[in-house]
Amino acid sequence: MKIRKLQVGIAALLCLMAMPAIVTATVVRHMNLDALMENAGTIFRGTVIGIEVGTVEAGGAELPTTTYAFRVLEMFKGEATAIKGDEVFMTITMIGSPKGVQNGADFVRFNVLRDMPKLEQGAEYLLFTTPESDIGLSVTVGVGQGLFDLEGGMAINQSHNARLLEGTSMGGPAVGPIDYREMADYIRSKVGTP
Amino acid sequence: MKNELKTLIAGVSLLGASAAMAGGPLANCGDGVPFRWSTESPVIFNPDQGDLGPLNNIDATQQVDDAFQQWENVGTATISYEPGAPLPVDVDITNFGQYLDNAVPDGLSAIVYDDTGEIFELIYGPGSGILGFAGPEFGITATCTITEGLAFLNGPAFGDAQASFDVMVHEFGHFSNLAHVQVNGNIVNGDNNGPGADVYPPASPADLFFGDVIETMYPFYFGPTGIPGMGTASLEKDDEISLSSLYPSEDFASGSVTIEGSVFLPNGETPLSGVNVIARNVDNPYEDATGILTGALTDETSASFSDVVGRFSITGLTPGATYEVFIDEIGPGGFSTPPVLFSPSPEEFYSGALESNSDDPLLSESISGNAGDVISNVDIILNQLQPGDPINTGLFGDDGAEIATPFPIYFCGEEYNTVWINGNGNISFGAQNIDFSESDGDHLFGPPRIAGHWRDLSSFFGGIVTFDTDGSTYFEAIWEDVPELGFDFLQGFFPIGSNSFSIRISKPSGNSGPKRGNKFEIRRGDISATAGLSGFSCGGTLTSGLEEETDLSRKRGRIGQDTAVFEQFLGTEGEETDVSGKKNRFRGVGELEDRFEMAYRGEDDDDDDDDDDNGSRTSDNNSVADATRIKAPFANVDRLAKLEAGDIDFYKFKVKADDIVAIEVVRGPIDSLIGLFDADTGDLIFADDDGGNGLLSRILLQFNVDLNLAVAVTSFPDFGFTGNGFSTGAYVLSVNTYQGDVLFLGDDDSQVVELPNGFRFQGEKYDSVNLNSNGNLTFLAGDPFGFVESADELVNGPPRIATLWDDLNPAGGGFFGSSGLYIVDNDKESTTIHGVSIAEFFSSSPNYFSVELEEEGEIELSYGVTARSDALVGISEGGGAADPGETNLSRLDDEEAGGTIYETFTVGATTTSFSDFDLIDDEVEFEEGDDDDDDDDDD
Repeated sequence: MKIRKLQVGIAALLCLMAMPAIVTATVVRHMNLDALMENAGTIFRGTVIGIEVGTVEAGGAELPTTTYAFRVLEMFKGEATAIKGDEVFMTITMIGSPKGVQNGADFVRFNVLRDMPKLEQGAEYLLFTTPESDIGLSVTVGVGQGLFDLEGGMAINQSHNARLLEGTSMGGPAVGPIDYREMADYIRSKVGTP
Repeated sequence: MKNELKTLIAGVSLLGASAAMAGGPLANCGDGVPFRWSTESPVIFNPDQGDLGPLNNIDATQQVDDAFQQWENVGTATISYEPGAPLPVDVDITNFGQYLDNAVPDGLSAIVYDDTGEIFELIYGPGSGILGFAGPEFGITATCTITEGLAFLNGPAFGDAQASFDVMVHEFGHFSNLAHVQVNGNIVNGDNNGPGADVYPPASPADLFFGDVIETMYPFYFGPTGIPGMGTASLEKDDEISLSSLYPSEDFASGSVTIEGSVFLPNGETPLSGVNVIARNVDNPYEDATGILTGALTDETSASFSDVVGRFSITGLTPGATYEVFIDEIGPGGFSTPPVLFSPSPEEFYSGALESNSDDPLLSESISGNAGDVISNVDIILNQLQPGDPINTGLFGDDGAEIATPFPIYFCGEEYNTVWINGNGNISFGAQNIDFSESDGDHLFGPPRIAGHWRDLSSFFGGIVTFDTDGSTYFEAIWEDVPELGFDFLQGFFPIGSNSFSIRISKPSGNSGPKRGNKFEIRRGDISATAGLSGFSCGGTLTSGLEEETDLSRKRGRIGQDTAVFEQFLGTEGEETDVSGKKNRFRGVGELEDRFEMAYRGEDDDDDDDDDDNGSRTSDNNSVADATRIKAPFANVDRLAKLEAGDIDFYKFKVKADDIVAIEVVRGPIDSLIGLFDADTGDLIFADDDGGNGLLSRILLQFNVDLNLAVAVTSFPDFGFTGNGFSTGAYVLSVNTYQGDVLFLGDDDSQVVELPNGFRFQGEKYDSVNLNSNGNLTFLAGDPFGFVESADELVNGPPRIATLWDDLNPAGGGFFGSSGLYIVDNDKESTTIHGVSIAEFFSSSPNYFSVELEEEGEIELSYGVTARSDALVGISEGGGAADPGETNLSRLDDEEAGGTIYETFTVGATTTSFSDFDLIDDEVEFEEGDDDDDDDDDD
């Protein structure tokens, strides 16, 4: 029997399976909004329209990655990945994978890269992402601090906006959701037009 | 002092972007059993050979040793640490991979020093703010023992030696399997909700900052400041208890007091995990205090599956001391276990026999014991509102409250004992939903929900949101005279109109509740909002995203079980709310069965070619032998298929020699994995994990022999295809077989396709057609760059057949997503062009579609699963033809293939998230045209 492979590879790892344990903890410098803007290579609001998992070669190993594709709704800083007609697109590749890790026959493996943000297809976010590294990887600045959910015209990051506005000239609560439009105006006033 | 405090706080760092459970272990081995390092011998760690930013190697390794020593010094814990041999190399940017992402144990617990910061910059990009990470790396389940740990430290990111030491001590707590806690830190961080500095006033506010009271495992780092109390290097009582609970000395329990109990929902029966329980010595409230999350020793959340859900146990309290116990809402800090929201339950004290769902939150019963005492049943019942009380929905009306129900609610196969009554006109199960922008996408992919009239409402400006119950037979969420929330720049926010409706849920009858679900009704009074969404959804775990709207105004009788039944009203002309004053009754939504595993027997399990055999079966489909028989083209668009725990689904079908087979899991919340088997031998032929959209799977293969095949659908990492995958949920499987030649087109590409039989279109006979990658065919000229579909282009461009005209990109991977295929199949009488798994530009959601061109001019368009994006479908002679306007193609009846006939599908036409594309799993036929007329046209 001849089978012509048109596409797609196989990863045939045969191991004992069990749910991966939840482990590791990342230490991140706290940043206020000004610091997020300063450290970000790109700042944009967009909708996740695609998610791909993959790998990248680095440090002598194949490391898991996740690439998110966005339809950009508002660009504040940085350059788009692609522009077609009136549409602006962006991709972000982060280390780590939403997949679990495989255990072995006689051991359990804890996922040490699980702290990376996980974005949902179809969801809309405001992202502050680091400039791409030499191997094309980046992350939302301050991990969860640079990733804002947008709900009901309000923006809140994964640290509940704790002390986000402290030390900035934008007024607002010490913690909790803030008005997205005010935030967008503030960002624009600081970074100008891309 | 004020300025000084502000400076200190600005230096705060977040420890643990999304650490696991607070106040307990990071990793549990089994129910009630955490992973632990062995204490029979010291834990060996292996420091790097290089320097660490401001520290040379000797100083860095000494500091690592000292940081571990902080934990080893805990007198009531038995864990100890010892430096082992240094790592075999100086870990740097060229060789870090083997330590970061080891697939198998290497016998090392690496403490990696990224001296230059290059490793962190390479994997996170510059400026990420990440200082380091740590945790257990490998363990043995049989003994629940951690065998290797890991830490990466970002040298240049540490401002000074104090900062690196602080961070190391915290991180090595994680290395030891400790999660975050919240005891004193949140008070320092500004928490003024519930028992805090007001109840336990410090001698002076400054004591909170400088009194060395912040627990090391608190998620925020306040240093370095040069002030010992602000750092995390010094352990607090809570840290010592946390470590000792994992690695107890012989006299830990016998020398101290233990308290244990549970936190219950307001019904007093349902235990609740994720609630932070704090015990404070009233005479030394900051230095002798500890906390833990309920249910910290299990990953389960339902008491049906675990006896330790909702339970807590704290050992290590001081004998003879008087403690108060209270529940405390978890603050910010990156806890991966969703924190329990106390809405509207306040933080409250344990009040002994007076505990109830309406006791005074500040009423406290003190607890005291002697060494070795175990004080049990320290149970706390959350408070809640009473029927008729207004629910505080906040300033914008988006908030809500979680209310315990007097009976269990069975909805979409799950049991709930609470519902979230959300201010914006809906109730949700298992999670609050503050979304004021109703949409079909959020409805289908959000939490399970019943929407009375989901809209941006605000009871802050009028009316009331409340609930009612007789305590036994019904529970009703009520919105009465609640206006919409309007906004303009002159007035700001203002109320619009008035809306009254309710969602009434009945007690399940007999034992049929889980299977059938609770009956419920949406009762509507006057609804002024012209836009909104009404109906129910089982949420993202069970919906496919292919569910379409239902006209609720025409629904009579009880509405049956389904994954979603809803209608969205856009408020535009013809799309206004038309259900005001009407009621919809729902039969209940219980256990939604996998339609391919239901207990019916194989009607039509023969090999004939009729269309009725898709899905017939003879037993459950958990093996090749028991595979469900299907016939390509197949897609379970309207029939639920789902993976449950331990489940795997097999489907068998036939292929002929030269068939190209496209198998794809096109929808689903699972991390799918598919395997293709020889159904006769059971041999695995091919497997795919992530070849499809996101974590979904796809196989494209061509065979040169006739075969009986079976495709297995499971989830990662079940490569043994035994059903032991990680994820569960519904999915849509698409299986198609094709004959023909593959054409590889790029983005905005066009190729000429010969038509051996010729094809008559709009009165002309053509021997070739231009296949444009954007889902359409043109005659006379290609149109590669026509990526913006429009009626104007249709009538003014070349003669065109638009199968699924959209900005499609069959090349995929060039930008993003997997490549798709065009396949051209010529037979004696027709040419068929198939679009196979082709995604829109920069998207990864596939489209399956075909167009068949018969010699005499008949055209058949057919569709499998599509992305439900915008598109134009139709035909036109082009060249400046008149635009006759749109035609509803799903109702087309023997239309001739002449002139211009088309329909545009637009996101936002009838619902907000998807287009109104309604041709999935459907066909559109254009009959051959009238030659005489065509001939006239030719002249």
